[in-house]
Amino acid sequence: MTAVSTEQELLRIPDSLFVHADLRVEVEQFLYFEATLLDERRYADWYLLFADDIHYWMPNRMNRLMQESARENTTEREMGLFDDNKTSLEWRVKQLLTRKHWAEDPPSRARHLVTNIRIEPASAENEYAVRSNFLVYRNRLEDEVDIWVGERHDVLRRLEPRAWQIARRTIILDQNVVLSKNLSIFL
Amino acid sequence: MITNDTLNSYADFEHGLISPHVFSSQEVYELELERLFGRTWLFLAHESQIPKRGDFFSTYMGTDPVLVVRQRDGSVKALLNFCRHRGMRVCRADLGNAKAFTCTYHGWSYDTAGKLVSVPNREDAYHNEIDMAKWGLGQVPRVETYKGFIFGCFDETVPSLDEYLGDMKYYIDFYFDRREGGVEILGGVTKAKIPANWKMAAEQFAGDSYHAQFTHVSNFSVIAPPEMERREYAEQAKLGAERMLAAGRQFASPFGHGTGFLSVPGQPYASTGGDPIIDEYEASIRPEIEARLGADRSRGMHGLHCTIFPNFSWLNPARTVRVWQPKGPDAFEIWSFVFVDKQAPAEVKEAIRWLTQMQFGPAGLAEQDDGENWGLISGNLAGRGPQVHKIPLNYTMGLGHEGPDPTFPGQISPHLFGESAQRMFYRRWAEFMTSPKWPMPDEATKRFASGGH
Repeated sequence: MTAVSTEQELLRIPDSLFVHADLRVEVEQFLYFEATLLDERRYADWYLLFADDIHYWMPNRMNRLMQESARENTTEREMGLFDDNKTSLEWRVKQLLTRKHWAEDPPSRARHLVTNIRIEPASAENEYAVRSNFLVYRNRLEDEVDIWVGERHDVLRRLEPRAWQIARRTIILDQNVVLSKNLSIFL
Repeated sequence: MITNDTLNSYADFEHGLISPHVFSSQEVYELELERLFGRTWLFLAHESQIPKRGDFFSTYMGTDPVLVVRQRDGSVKALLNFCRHRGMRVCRADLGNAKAFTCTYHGWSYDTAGKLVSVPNREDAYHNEIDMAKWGLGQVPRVETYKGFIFGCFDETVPSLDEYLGDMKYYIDFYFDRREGGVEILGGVTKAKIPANWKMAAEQFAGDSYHAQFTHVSNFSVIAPPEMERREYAEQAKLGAERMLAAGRQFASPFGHGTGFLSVPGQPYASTGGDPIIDEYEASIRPEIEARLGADRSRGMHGLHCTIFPNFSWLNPARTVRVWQPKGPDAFEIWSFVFVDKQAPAEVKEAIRWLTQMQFGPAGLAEQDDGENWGLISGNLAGRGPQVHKIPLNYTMGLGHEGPDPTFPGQISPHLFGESAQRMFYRRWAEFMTSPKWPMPDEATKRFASGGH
């Protein structure tokens, strides 16, 4: 809708968002499980949650007039903040485990809040398009504080009951200038 | 008011001693905005970012907001993004194409050349008394381009960009004029805010190859070419590194620019991480580069880092150019871009874009660790602790070993690691901070820069 209607309309929640309760529990617990691994800095375990064909992408956000809002985010072949495959995610995890990655040694204290989880079936039978909002709080050294807020668009793949992988993740960070001195933890 | 004597005491470049005050003083910062950013050539945009008439890119010169706009006749103007009525931003988008800039406060409208073309209620409320010709957007008086890179300067008396760059052009061409058509900036700019003084980054990119082996050790230890074992790569890298350090050079310009490069004839160019797509491309164009730039720059020189004084830098092979936008004595923004040869095949451009972004940007495997250094130096000075502020910082590496080189122009230090560029950076900084007239490098500086003492 691009205009406000003058007649009374009833806007229904899309049917696709109503998935089976058991499925909802698994997806939510998976995302909370992932958040726990990150908060506890269990990076090697966190890496196992990613499918071999993962594309982990975070575009840059630009300030555009509403008439150009379709171009608000950079595209996949333009500059962005993350553009990772399984190999490069491994580089990142290994870097965190070297004990020489000074940006995270001493490590930050981080807390991932994941909320507004919306689940819809995706095209493949065992895949789901899952969106969630995040707020990640980082506190570092004496008094450094960063707060990142945004949304993730995931494709989650259910391999077995209670065994999931992330096949695709797009992170939309609600910042134009990145307001932290680095993005050394995963959002 | 801070005196010239105090400013000069902060930058004892002859002995390689720099005062921490340059990184923390509010007074120094405010004087820099006037005496340094008000008088030097500052990077605006690359031609490839604003190809069509009406294309604009919003940026800063120092802390003054500027719109870089492609004109109808193909030239480029830089306009202050500051309505003449009350100072509102006349354009709030980061980039785009416009036929006019209309202020959303009272509706004053300017054409793409900055001319005031429309004022609501001009006849009645203004009684036709407003002289439109006098109220156009502030114009940056000097705008010049070198190899597609557009620079602006607020000082009309500044030497030409060509003269300002001087011997640096020899080194710039290696990065930006290797092939016909030069380079282009790929889509997008990444911006991040660092809680530190802009000069930490500017001087690092001018002359600091030294920091990489420690700051970025975690990056080097995880990046490996896919077809080699990481251990084997690390061993090769170590042998290569020892040879390369001895074969590296640092260049410092009397105008304050600095760059460092490797001079290893016959050494194949290698991308960080050994991407075969990039490496094969580089090998394939080497004869073309030699024909264009000569043997010394094609076979023998692998440029690494560079700063065009005061705040425009780049890295190669990472192929990122960036502006350090000052936002206070203890804050700056990194605005970083990726550049590629225009003629490179699409898959090479994409490979470069991917690899550069992986290394640089706030999430970059390399750049993450720079933020930690700069932020904590700033944190150490934030409390204005009097004791630390009394301790001059050591900028003595290679002091006295600078001189002329048989192959490369300008002042050269005979090792990859050195601080000659940083000493020259602060020499120029002091010249700008203390000189009422535009400071042409004096005879002493030129002698120093050509290797005499």
